Amino acid sequence: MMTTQYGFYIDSSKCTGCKTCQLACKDYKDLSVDVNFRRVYEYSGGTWQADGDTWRQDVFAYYLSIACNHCADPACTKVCPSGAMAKHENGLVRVDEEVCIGCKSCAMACPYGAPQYDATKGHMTKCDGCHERVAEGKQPVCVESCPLRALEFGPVDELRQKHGEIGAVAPLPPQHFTHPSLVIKPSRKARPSGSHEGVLGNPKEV
Amino acid sequence: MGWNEWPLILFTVISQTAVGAFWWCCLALIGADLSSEQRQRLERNMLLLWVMMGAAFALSSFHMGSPFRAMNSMLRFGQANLSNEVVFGGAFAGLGVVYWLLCLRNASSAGVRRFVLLLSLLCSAAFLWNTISFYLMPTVPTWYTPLTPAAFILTAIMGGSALACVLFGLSGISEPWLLRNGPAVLTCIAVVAAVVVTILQATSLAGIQSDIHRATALSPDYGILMAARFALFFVALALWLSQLPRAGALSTAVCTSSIVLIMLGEMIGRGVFYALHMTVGLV
Repeated sequence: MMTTQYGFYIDSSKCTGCKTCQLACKDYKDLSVDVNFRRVYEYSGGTWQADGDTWRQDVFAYYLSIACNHCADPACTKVCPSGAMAKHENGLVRVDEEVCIGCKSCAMACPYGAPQYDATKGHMTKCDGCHERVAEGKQPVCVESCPLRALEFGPVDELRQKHGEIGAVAPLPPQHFTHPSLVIKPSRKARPSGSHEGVLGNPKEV
Repeated sequence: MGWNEWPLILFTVISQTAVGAFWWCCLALIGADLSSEQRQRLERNMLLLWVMMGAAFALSSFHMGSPFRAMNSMLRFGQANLSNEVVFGGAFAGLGVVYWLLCLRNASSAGVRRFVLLLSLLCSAAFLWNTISFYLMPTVPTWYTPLTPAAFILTAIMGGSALACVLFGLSGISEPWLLRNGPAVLTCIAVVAAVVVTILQATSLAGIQSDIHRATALSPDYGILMAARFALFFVALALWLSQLPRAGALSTAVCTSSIVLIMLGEMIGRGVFYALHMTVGLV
């Protein structure tokens, strides 16, 4: 079943938080109001600091566009009682909407908020990596929509060779929990995962 | 407070109470020297446990978005804790009903009945353990702690002892000492253990945070809710313990009040447990 593991690359140094990716996905997948397969997290912080007789600020803010990271060791599939949540071709984690019972266990376990309960459907839904588009040789719709060209999708080994090994900055969890198929080019002001230096700037949007 | 998870609050507290009471019943049926009338009445009264398990499972279906697909929850038996929980919970109650029917119809030999009872006992332990294991998710730091098994097992002990006391009362069992006073004594010990668990949890929450969530912010009323929980326990114990020095059987009405208060207290505690859900990341 397992072939090449596909994953996403996010250039957080380019991302302006415009949310075109989020809306392109929402439109393409025809998602209801409360469901967002891709969400843009704004992480911000900083304060005034005394510098001799003067004060300087070290405020920062940056964006992370996060969908499902199609983890190599997913937390969601382990807890799923029906097997609806499973890894498929290209290492993509998908939910079989004909089997899922809507128990929300996967949503409890996933630290990225990827599995989303759709109340109108009565079961879980999530980013499937636009596997049908990928099978036709196209890119996922979020990647294609990004006006900054800040998103890429492909075999994660290739993405890592091209862009490096970083797969976590704050507020993402350390990679060892689920081994996300995610490569990040951090913003200049990015804080390391677990540094607790900032806050989520847009809690009502994610 | 995690009231939005009310089906799971009711399911876990009711089913764990039934498991704990079942353990006391097994002790009485296997370990104690009951008269044949006491044994017969207890065996019949144990129907209450299976009604409770049925109600617990029915209530849990309100947690599911697609309850008509409930059977799919067993598809990963042997691999997923939730599947194991459903299968062992169903087997525990199913075997319990078989035992109840065998006793009611006076069918089969005592040996076969005891075998069914022991099989049900094994399933009850497997059920409780898989319920606990489900919540031990490494990505959920507020649940991934020894305090989770402690809390769930204490529910079985406290609720189960109080319920067993009611069942014993209804079955006319007022001897030996172990069955008359044992449940109350064990519940006292369990309540002390619950105080320790709560203190440990309250102090540990301060150290649990992700980059965007703090465990202490998840249940801002933690203190007052736990105070209410223990107030219910202490009233239940006061009522219950006041019965012990008296001669003869314990008052069933008082024991029933105690079990109701203890279950209400545990439901508050379980509500706090679900409110404390957070992950190591964005959720």
